[in-house]
Amino acid sequence: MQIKNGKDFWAGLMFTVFGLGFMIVAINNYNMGTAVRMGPAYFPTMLGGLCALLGAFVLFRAFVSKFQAAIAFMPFRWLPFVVGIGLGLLAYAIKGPAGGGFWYQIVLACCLIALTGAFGPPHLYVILSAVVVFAFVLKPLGLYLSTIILIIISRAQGEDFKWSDVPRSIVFALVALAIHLGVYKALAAAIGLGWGMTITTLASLFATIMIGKRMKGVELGALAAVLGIFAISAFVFGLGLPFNVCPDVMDDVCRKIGLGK
Amino acid sequence: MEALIANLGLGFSVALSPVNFLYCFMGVVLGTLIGVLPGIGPVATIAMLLPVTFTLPPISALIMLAGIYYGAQYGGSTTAILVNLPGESASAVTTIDGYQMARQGRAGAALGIAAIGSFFAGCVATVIIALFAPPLAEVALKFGPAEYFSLMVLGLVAATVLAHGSLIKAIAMTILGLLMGIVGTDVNSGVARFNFGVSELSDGIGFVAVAMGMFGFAEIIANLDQKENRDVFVAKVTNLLPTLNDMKICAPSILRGTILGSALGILPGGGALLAAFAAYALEKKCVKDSSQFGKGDIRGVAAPESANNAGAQTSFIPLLTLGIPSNPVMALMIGAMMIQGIAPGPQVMTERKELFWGMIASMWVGNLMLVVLNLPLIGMWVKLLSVQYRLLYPAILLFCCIGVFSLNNSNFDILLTVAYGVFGYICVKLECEPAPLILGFILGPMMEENLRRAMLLSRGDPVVFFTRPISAALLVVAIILLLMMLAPAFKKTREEAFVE
Repeated sequence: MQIKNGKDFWAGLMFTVFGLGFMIVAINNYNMGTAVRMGPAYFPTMLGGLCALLGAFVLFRAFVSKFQAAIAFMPFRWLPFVVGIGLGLLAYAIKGPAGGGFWYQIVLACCLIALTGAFGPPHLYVILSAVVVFAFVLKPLGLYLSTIILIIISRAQGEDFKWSDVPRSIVFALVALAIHLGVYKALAAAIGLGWGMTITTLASLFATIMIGKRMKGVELGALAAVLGIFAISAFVFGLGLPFNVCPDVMDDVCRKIGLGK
Repeated sequence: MEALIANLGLGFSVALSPVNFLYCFMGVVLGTLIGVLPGIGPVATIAMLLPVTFTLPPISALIMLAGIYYGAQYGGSTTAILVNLPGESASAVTTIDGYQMARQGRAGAALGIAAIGSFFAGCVATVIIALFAPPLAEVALKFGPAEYFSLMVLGLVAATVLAHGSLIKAIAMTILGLLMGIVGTDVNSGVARFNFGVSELSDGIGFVAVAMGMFGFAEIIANLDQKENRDVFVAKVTNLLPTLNDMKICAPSILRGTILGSALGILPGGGALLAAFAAYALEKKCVKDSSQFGKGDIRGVAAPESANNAGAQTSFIPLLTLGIPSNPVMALMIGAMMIQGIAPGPQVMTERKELFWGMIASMWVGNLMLVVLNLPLIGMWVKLLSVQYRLLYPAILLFCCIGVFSLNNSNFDILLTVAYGVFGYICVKLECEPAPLILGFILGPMMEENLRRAMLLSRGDPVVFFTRPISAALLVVAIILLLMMLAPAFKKTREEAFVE
């Protein structure tokens, strides 16, 4: 027996495992009930069985298929996979009954980053770990700094990316925010919060784009600054979505000028 | 007839009130803005912009979302024509002839005919909804759980028919979607199912997280697989209005596309995608000289564009009358309605008259806005398209993250999205379509609920699905569809349709 169609093989395996998994969990944990009064296990057991059956068929087809596909359909790396599983177990062990603390969050983030590194091409890893980091820093660091982090990490792939540009970019983005907040404070006192925010945002977006275009090596910073300023004004100020704008140390400053929660 | 005019009058008075008019306008602009970004289809656009509507009153929110949908659809066609990068499969058909036209320097005519065709289709579809929705809702009031269950089966079968590639895989993906959909607390017994002790999962897996992961993240990653090599026809977009001769050639195509699209949009599982593919295939059969198709025939843009807009709009009919989403976009609309505290279903039309008719009227208003907006604004969209993808994707990523986070204000949803991003990418690589999974995901809980009720009413006798006439008819159609799929002749046409 030889696997002819690797894609069918993995797809079939995936459906079979998922189907059987749902079935086994349902049967062992929930009440089956009868056809008249279906329990919580009835529907998932039926569907799980069907899914596993179809999966088995696809699996079988992989051996007789007239289409050829390699069994290694995308890159897979063992090391991050094993490390990720290990860190996941560690996270589970230190979670404790009252939910996770600081170290639990750190270990969980590392576990997820390692797991995304196990599959697919490098840019999958880079982009998704940027998002994982963003998810964990958004609440403690606030929207603006998290935006800078997300933009810069997610760009850390591709041929034209230079690490030497990163420090300059970060400084540029931070300066842009500081100016944005400063001007807003001054304007808000003079002409009111709403108009102050609108005018400041438009002016700083325009200025950031213009300066970012002319200064070499701050392209990323300009992008982060533009998106950060836009996100703050649109989502926090305009829509009132509950985002923390700045880290705790800066909270006082932000509250004084009427931003953030 | 008088009632219809009175209702439409009510609708227009709602849709044209300054506040709603403004939200419709904002929705259309935002939708086009995001939809024009390469690799972002209507599903990801709506999921991304969903939180924007949270703070609005229900009717403004729905009007804005509908506006976002048309905007995204239109933006997707612009990208398809100018960059050959369809945001979603519905505009994949447009790339065939549209991109060729752009290469020949006729991008303006292609964009113009797409706008005109869409507008015409939108007008017709609005009238169709106004005419057919009320009687359908009356029928829907007679629907029992057995009928609902059979209708959902039909919808899922139809959805698998229009998935690419292997039929078996598409069915398995649907079932996997149903299974993932029932994660969370069981309504009847209160048992939290398949949450493995994770408290965030006891409300179920967030739909936006699934949609965003599989259509947003996975799409970005798949786009980056290819090296950046796009020709954007920026300089050549001039003369947006097609010539009189173009109009003459296209008029019958637009009409055919509209009729076919409207009909297919009503079917559960139908909508823009099926409509566009079918219209293109029909157009090739109907015209005398089809040798130019695939080489930049303007009719190859006009027909699918009218059809997908008509289909997009009439797919609101099953949503508004039955409360059943026929495609992932409608599933998102249901989510939005529920967040606003409206239970979708036939009662919406009688109990929330102003909402129902206001939305229908706003569809027409939105389509008009699209035409008026896009003629002057096309230069701006083109400029946006010329921004390199390496600068666009971090921005797309940020808006996806903000959208997901703001749903529950929890970072768990972002992590779930990452997981679904990986899963979605694996599915793409394994040639398993995500669309059936999404549809199954949203229908899962509803199907279980209706199956339970039907079986309880029939005392456990499954024959009930075949003894009730409407239910039996729906199931028979589903079975015929499945058998057709197995028939060799149809299988071949389907393969051909998707190869193009």
